[in-house]
Amino acid sequence: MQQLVALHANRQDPARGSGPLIDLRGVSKIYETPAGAFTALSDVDLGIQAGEFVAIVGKSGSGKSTLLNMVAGLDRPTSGEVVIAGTPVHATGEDRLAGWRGRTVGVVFQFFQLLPTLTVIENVMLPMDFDGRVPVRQRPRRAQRLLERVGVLEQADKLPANLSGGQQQRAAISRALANDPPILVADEPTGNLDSQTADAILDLFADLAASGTTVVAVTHERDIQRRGARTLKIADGRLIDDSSAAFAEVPETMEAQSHA
Amino acid sequence: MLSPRWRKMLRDLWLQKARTLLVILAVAVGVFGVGSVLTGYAVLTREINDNYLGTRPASATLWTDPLDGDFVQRVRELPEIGDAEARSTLQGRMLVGPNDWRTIQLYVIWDYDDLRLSTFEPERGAWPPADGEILIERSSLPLFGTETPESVVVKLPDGPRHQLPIAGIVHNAGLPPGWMDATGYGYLTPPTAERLGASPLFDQLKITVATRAEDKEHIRRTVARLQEWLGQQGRRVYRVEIPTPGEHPHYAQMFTMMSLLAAFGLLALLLSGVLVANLISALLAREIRQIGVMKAVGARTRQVAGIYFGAVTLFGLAALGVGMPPGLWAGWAFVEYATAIFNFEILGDSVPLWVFAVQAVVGLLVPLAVAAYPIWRGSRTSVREAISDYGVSESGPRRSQRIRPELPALRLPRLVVLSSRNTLRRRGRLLLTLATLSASGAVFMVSMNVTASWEETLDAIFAARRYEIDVRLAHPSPVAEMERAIRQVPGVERVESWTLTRASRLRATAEEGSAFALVGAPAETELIDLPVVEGRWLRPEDGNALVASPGLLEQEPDLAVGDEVRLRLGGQETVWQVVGVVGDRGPARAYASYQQLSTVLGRQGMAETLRIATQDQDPAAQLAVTRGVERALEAGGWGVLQTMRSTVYRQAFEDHLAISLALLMLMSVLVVIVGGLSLSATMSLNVLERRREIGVLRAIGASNGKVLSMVLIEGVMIGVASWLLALAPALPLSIFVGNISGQIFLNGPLEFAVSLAGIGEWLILVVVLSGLASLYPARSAARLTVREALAYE
Repeated sequence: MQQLVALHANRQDPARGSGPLIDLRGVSKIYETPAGAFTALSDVDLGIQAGEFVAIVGKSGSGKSTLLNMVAGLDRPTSGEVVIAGTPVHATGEDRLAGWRGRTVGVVFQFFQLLPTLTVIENVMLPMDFDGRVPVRQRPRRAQRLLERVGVLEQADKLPANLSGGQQQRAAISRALANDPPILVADEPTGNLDSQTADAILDLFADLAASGTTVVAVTHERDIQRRGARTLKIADGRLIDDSSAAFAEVPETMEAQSHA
Repeated sequence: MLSPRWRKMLRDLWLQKARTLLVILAVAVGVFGVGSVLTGYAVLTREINDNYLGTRPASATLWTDPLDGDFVQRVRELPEIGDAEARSTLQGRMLVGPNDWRTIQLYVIWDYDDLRLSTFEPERGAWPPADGEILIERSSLPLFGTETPESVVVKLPDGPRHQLPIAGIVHNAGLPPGWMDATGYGYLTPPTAERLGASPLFDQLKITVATRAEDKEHIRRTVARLQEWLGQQGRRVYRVEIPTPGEHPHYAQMFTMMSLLAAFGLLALLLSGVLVANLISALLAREIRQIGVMKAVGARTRQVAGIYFGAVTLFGLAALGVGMPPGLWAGWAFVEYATAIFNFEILGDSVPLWVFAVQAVVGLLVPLAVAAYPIWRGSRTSVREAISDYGVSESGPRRSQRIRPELPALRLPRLVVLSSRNTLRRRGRLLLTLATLSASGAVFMVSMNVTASWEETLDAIFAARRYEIDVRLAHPSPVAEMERAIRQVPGVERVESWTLTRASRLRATAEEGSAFALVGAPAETELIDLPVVEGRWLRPEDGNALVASPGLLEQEPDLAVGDEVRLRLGGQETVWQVVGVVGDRGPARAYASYQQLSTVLGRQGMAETLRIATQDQDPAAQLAVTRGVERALEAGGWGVLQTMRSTVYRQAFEDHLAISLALLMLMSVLVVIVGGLSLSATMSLNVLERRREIGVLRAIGASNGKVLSMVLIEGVMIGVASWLLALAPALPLSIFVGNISGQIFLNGPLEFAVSLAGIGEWLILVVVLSGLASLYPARSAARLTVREALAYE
């Protein structure tokens, strides 16, 4: 893991040290459905500093994935402002956002979402291919190093279908880090994994955060607070709690009720 | 080394072999259709004109009093005349089997080494023929049953039989093929003609004009002045023919046939375009989640679109490889078919480069163009939309997709209700599929209807002619004696004596129209019964009355029932009144009463045409009666020019038609294949989009059979709906194609007939086709487990 930290230590982050890396002001998101308007986020204000490890928790349908999508630049607000690493996401076109995302945000999904017809190493090289900043000759070596750091280098030439869930998620994290983004977002990254593998993945996130990468994850895992994560609790589209300490002290019975 | 995105594209194509093959085939069908039609068109238009112009066709042919070499030279020296040559044509019969006589046209050539106009080329053997020998035109060879006949027995009507050695074979690209018209063509020297009993004089004057050889009006005026000059020289002109300058006599027919094929080629291209659009939509629907992932990791819209445009370009290149060679082959096969029909020879075997260029455009640009919208739409899908595409619609159908619950108000089984509602969910896609499948059905039914219309038309033609044997005599002969002799022949039911002559209309401007056949039939004839379209048929008390055919009205458009018309016939001018129009197909023709026409021609009681009805209509009986009639006429000393049996005539006609109808059917099969592929693509897409729904159905207890049936019923419903939709365009299209086809062979439209069998067969075929096209998607759906369907990512 030391090598991974070393790789990220080389990153130039112009946004560092000049206010929050992720800054949401008065963000609301309303979806129009045939059944009427549905408010997924309501007037959310949030600032996340560079290098923070943030967990978003909440019930199903509470708006946590919508909030994560805002942070990742995967969705834009109906109203309010989203400024990430100096980029006003709310005012940036979908296509420009894609290129921006390739450089700025690494995304990890619950179901891994590795492209099934590419080998593991090819999946990792894909963001470099789209971004184009890493020279073509350096890409395989860089991808190998990323895979080595998450412990799946031996699987580099296999297709994703031949890997276990944990291995696939590690490969997906390598892919998310391919272009050395300052931010890593993860939507229930351990939701599809056994507890032992989930622990290992969360440790990996904690290490990344410790090395300066801003990690924002939607998760049900209680253990994430024990890794020092700042926890944002969301209900009915509103942030109702923003405290790592407070959430860590919530009795297990109460938390169980909140997930019921 | 390929970058990951291109490796992904190639692997996807390879892993989805069936789908890749389907798209390539769909594009290849379009490339094939366009390639075959364009190859045929490009080669034929070039060759037909090169061949024809290579024969130095005459601007006009004049039938005159006999000419000699000096006189022809004087014609050549006239300032407005480019060149001139005298010929003579004899009509005789040749023996092709025991007692089996066929017509032969014999051309008497002045000097074989100085052919100036309407030339022909030696193919093999001697050139020129020695006196007493004959050259045979190659398209007559099939009549002999051998490619190397050594001699032929020829007989002119008034002359003795002569066995002439065949000195060589020639090719005349200006003649229609002899095998098609069951007519032989031979070339003789003047002494040979004399030996056969013909006059050695030349009565045809072929000329070209000195200037403006392409201007028909100029040719007409020049010929009028030449006629005047000939008159001053004491030579009468009996008949004039001016063909369309520079155009092969069959060019219009060929062009019409090519246009028809081009229409089918374009239809195949259009339908394959629709199919490609559907397939690309299917491909992108399957890829939508991966598109979302690629965009999540930084891919821009144009980078995503580039991957799929790259795939479509590869499809196009592969389709060119698959579609071009058979297209070229089919184009040449059509060229060979046409060269046989039009009796010309391919002088150059190259296909113009533009044909390949157009195919390349069709193969590459058409798929890119039709795929552009689905690719653009798919590539623009946002990550959120792509990743949260759960298959079961989150928000229900859009306004346009809403289903009226009362729609299947009939008490239908639940499965049928579900299938019928599913059918209507994606209306845009449904419409495209219905359009493709309906077009396939319409083309199939058009083929069947046109075939039925031809049957009906031929039945009508032969039903109107109630005689089985048509005899042409060398000279007008006494009616009473001949009829008495023929009635003695066993098997003869009835005989009538007719007379035929050529006539041409003299217009008010003193201009002479083209010649047409004037048929003198007994007013009370029982051997022809043509439907009266306007006015009336002939009456015994009629004077100079004539009944026109539609072909004549087309030639003389200002002519109407009740009009008086001045005709030149038999060297004299007479005035006739048009009393009716009959539904008679074929070239320009008019009917007058035999009694009146023979009087005008000054040959009362004489006839040169006999129409005979036989007791039995089967071919063997007709042949036996024909031989008996020929013997009886020869015994009476009445020279027979030609006999034609209706069965032989009809068979020859049907044989020629069979090729064209087979071509039409082949094209419809091509379109039907595209239709089937299209439905299969649509059903695959529908199943793909409903995987989660299918999972839900399985979870609540739907068996394999139920899921399979649901998809199959949906496919068959689309098939049946397309059948209903195809009925409407099939009728006008059948009339249109029937009219074109009739125009090619009969100079007129066909009797329109609807093939009920065709409509029924298409229903069966479309149900089977829909079932087969839906089977693979249905089986895929039935094999889905609940876990797979609901966990589908």
